Amino acid sequence: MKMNKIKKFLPVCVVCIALAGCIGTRETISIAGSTTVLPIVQKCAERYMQLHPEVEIRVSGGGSSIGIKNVGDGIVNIGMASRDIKDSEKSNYPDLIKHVIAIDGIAIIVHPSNPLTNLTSEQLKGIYNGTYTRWEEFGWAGEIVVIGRDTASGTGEFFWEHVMKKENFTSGMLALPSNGAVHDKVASTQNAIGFVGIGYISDKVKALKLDGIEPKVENVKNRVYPLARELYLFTKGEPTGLTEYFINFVKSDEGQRIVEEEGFIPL
Amino acid sequence: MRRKDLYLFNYYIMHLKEKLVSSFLFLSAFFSVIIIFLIIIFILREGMPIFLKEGLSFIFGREWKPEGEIYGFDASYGALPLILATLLTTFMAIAIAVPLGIGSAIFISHLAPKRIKSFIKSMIELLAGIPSVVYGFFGMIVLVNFFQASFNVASGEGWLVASIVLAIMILPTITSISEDVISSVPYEYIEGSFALGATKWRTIRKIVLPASLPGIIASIVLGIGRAAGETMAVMMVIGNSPLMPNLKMPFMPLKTITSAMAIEMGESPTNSMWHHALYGLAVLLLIIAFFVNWFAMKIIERSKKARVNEKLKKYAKIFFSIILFFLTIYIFEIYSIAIFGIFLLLYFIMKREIISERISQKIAFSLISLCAFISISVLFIILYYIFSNGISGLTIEFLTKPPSNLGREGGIFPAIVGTLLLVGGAILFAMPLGIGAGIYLNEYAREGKIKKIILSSITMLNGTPSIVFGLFGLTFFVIYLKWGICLLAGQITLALMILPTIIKTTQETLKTIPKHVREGSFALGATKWQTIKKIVLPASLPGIMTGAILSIGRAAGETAPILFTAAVFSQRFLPGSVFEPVMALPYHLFIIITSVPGEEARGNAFATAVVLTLLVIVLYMGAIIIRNRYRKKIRW
Repeated sequence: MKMNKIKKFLPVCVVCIALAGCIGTRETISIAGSTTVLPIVQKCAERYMQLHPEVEIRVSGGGSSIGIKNVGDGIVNIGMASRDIKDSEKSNYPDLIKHVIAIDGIAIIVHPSNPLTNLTSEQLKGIYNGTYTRWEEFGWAGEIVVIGRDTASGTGEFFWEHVMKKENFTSGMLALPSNGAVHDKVASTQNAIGFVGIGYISDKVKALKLDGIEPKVENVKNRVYPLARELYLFTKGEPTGLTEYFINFVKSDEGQRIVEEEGFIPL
Repeated sequence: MRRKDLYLFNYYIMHLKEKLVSSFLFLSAFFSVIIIFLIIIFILREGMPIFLKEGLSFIFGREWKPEGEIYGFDASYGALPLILATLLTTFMAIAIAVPLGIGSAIFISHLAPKRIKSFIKSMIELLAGIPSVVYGFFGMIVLVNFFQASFNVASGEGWLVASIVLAIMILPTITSISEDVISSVPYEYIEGSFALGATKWRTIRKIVLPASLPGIIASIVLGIGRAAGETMAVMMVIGNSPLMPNLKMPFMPLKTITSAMAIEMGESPTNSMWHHALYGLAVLLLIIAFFVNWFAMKIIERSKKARVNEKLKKYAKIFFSIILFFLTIYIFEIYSIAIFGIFLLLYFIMKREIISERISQKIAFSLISLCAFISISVLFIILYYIFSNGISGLTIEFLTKPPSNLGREGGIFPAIVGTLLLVGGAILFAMPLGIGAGIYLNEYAREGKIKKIILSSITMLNGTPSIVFGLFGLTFFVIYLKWGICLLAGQITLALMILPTIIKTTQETLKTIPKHVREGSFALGATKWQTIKKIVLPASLPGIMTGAILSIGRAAGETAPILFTAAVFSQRFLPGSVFEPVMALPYHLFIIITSVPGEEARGNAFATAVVLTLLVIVLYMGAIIIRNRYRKKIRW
């Protein structure tokens, strides 16, 4: 009676082992890193796998440093990063090779009910360092809810360097973990202001002009819009095989079309 | 061969077998010692540089800006804001959950009608299994928005919401353990009290609660451990700014030790001081967890020997009153006079016994019923909310297709299979080791130093927060053993996490098998292993199975241990070998909630939460049914 219980569970275990043990012949690469780059690479991977049914490309997030660390250690084939490699990483992994795949513009977003349309760089800095705390300064009403990114993130760091000029953020800033979280928060909070990658602009938030320049693809491409940075893939040594094909695919016309579809700026 | 030699030969074989079995059992018990040793070594090795560099200012520094090192400004590694945030959220969660939990426990054991008693108890045990990402998800979309709207604050995130989410999470733990203890107070005590003419409330207050106090305290301490080590749910609602906590600002974003580890691990370059600082945080978390567990063990030990020291109780009372007094003044300033006034008035009424016994019983019982009502309805609201929003998304396509367009379209099939593989592998590793260790500890081990070392290792392993297991898995399996992010690394990390639960339930079950059953078997000439295999194990199988299923449920819902060891965001095919990564339900849910904007993503998040919760609930229900059925059947 009691042994029956064990016997019932045996097939389950066997199936688990069997599933884990069947080794296919398909070709596989894995990619990890920045969550900013992830949408581009994920979509490209989906398209590439449609074209080549025998190929498997696995994409995971983790952050820019995880991407660089894992590709350096040979754990993944490609690392995604939204920042350039740091000196300490260069000395750890001297043979990493950088591939620029897209440009990301950072847009300032507010709630759609906010009448504001334009900010100057100085005003923006003032909001984020705590000089301005109320919307009355800008002809509206209410307390400004400042939303930023965790300074650990590449986007947060870029903003801090180029908007804040390396000054401290106001201590009341709400630091959210991702572009998506900032977007959702601004969309649901009337008094909020935040910054996200241009790809995250939707009709639920309103993107502001910065110094009179709209955060649009053409403006970033022409280098008129001030807040833009490059996005990278890293490989260990020159890429070969599937890794090479995939990176070439991302850089190809079709790949760059996906870059644009996802709201980033093609090269 | 002569007949005598054959006997002798058989005897030797048997003897050898016994020896082999007992050494295997010893090894499986000793495995816990090795693992806890490895965890400490590997976490310390990576965390040491920060302690050497910063010394005590790592613990007492008031500014946490470790990213400065790579972004080119002055980095500071003061973990005090993180430590205080962890302590604050834990303390507040306990303050909310303890009255509710103990109230519910009293309600279930003494007030509830017999018919619904076991139903409520099973329900609350079921709710202990809801994965923490699901709690975090609920907190993020319901509580945060609720506070934002009703208190007219800029943003609902902050330590108050985090504390409430934690409180809801630990409520089932506190309730079910307290209820066990309160129910086990011998009925003679209660009858004796009734015989002396005491009312039911007076009996509960003066007889039942004091008698079960050590057990209740132990349940609280376990709750503290769980709250302090929780990662995902807190991270999703606390706002994540490493500020010094301000008690007057409940909607102030903070960052706890665990959320800093989970968020920043992905961004800190290898071998940077930042990286070491995060391992330093893991060391601090381990110290806190070990201390809490050691404290719990001491209380349980002491309660077995004697009643709680009266003097100690008095000092504790004075100590906590003083702390509460100053806290009230600090937070409520001038209004605290009114609070003290009300408090004094209540005290006066109680002391003078102005209210008759019957009325005070009425008041007390309605408060207790209210507690039970609140706990159960909160938990049901969560389930209802998740299910009512997610059930429409559960289509055949959703269950059988891989995700596309960042999880906004397609389904979650690879994630379901991935979770089953992770959990199946974990149980395959942990079951033999855990049952072996349980048998060794209960049947073979002699009292002594070695047993003590093994037991305390298991306790330490039990108290290790899941994010630390994740960090250990990353350091040891993924990087040190060069396995990479893969299924196997995740399976073993999860196995280590559930190992102590399996050992403990095995041990507890074996203890319930009476000695005379074993002696009967010995008397018939059976060896020790034969007795265990044929008599003891079959009888204790239901108990062991219950433990195993409960730990499967826990493993299926955990995110932190697989965050850095096994999980990928997307994958089209199922993994071809254990050295490939997998998708997993809790991780998938976490990513689409936090990183993918848009309504479609929200809808799929609800549906994923339903699948995950259903999976865990079905497992728990199985465990509860098995336990209830066999508890009645077996009679010696």
